[in-house]
Amino acid sequence: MKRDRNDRKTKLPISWRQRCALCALPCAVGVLMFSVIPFLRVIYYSFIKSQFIREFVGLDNYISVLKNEYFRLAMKNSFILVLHGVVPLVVIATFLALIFMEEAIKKGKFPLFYVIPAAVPTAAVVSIWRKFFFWCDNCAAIDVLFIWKNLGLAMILVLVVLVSIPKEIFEAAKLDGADKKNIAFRVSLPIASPMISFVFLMGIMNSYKIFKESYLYYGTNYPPDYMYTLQFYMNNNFAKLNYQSLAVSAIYTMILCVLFVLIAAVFIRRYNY
Amino acid sequence: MRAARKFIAAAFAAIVIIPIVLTIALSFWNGAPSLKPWEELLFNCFVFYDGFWNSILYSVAITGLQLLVAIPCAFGLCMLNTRLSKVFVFVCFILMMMPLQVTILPMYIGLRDMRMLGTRFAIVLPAVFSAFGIVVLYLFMKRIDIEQVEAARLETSSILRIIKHVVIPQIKLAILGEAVYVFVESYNMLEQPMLFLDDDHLQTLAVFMSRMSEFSDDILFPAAVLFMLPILVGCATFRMKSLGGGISKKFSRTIPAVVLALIAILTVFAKDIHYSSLTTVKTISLGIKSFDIDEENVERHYAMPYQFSKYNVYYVVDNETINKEERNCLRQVYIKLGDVENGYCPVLNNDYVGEPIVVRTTGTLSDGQEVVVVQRD
Repeated sequence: MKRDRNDRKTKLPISWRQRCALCALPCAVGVLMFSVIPFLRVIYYSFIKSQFIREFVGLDNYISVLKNEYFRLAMKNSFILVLHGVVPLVVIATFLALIFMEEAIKKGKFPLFYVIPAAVPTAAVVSIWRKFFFWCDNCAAIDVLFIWKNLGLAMILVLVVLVSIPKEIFEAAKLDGADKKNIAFRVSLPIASPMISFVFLMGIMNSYKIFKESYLYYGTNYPPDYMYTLQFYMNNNFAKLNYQSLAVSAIYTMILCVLFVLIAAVFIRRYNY
Repeated sequence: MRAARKFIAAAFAAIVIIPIVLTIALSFWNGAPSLKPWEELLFNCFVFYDGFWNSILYSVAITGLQLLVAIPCAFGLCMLNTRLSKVFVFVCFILMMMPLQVTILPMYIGLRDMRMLGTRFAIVLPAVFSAFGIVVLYLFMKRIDIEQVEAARLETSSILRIIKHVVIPQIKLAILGEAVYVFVESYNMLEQPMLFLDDDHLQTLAVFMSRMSEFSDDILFPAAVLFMLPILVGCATFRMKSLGGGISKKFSRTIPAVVLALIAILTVFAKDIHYSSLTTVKTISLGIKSFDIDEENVERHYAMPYQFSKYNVYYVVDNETINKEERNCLRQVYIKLGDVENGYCPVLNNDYVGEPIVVRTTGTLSDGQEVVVVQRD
């Protein structure tokens, strides 16, 4: 009898697939508990009047947030930031990647040195920015900080693709009489364009994180109007415990993000096929 | 053409390195080259140490625990490959793409409902169970050799052993990259501790730096240098490792350990060094009332000379500062105000006993002003 039980133990009562599921379970439960379920509650919050009066109000919250002038300012600034922060970032990163390409192919190594700014904590470098950009009364200071932090990583990402282009393609282009400029614009860039759109997407995502930079730079929850981005709006609503407008603006942001991701995905697809 | 290329590379390198070098240089600058800012930070600003170790603790805990749960999870999902697991990975992918603005409110609500707000778990747990780790590891595990896993299954029945001996060696680099990314992100964390914590003893260095900037630029630069030191040391050792060689391998382990040990020694002894430079002030102390609330938990009440609010700023100054004509108070203290009775009875914890505490809203003191001295017994 005892032996029988031992046998069963060596055979293991649960199957391989069940054990796989068991492995996945702890983390999956964690994600559900800390992200997914609270997220559903946020959606619920966005449709009720307040936490205390749990009355369904339809889209009222959505409309009142849209009417809020600070929300509109924050949205506008977040959009403009893409123009004057992310676009230069991508252009400069691509340009630098083209320049570093030849050497990277020759050495077979990436200049990882340039990624350091992305790793250095923002709070540590922001004091130097404050010291040298005190004269600056527009968003240039934050833009420069943003580009400084993200440029190296963006360049490396483009570089990885450029280096992986087979040599034969360049040789064929040379045989056809293309000069360096032609090769760059007609060969390298089109091949790297899915990665460039990915870098663009990443830049947009990082531009949402710019709150950290500007909060530390200005040291206040009420920065000048031109730097008032979405996270400031949400932070100030956090301070007021205004869950309804917080929930609504989170959902608006999410919709925007999904749109961006979809557009980028379409771009990446189109170039891939 | 070649020269131009070299020039651009050099210029880019300079742009990358100049802000870092300037930060280090300015930490030795106080109108003239001096060690004063460092002295101020290391021996006069103890809140800094709390923040530093909290930051390290949170990032190490987050990185370690996340790898511990995310690797088995990604492997399990990868092997299952059912509709449910695919849906879950897709949900994780969407969560990963969301900026913090979207996810921080759900996090806050989840933590509030689980009564974890204001504890260390509030910082660590949501970051441990992040979608990012699962998605990245899942994508890499999709590409590993399934046949090897099948072969290993004939040898052993333990799934954890398969993960350890078959899966991890194949995607070692990806795991390393993910770990570095998670460490850097959590070391740099600002919004979560700001919104989820209100106890200053649990706060991270980034939050301290954002508060310090309000009153003193001097100690900000040394603090910044120490803040980025772990990252810079990490970069340097990584570089040494990639260059190879037996000696550098040995160094790459000892240098980070030495740096952390030095800061740890300072953490333990800075307060003693600070006290040894103090002389006792007797005359200026004002109506100190000290009594026990209950037998076990001794707390002191000090009667303050005038009305003050929770939003007043407290400065700790040394006795020299009190006895000179006019001076700046560099160190800002956050004292937890316990039961404030009638607005003028703060509860000071024993950390500040022996230091003169000044209740003022600006950073300067002049002669004839009343200063509360909390005497050490």
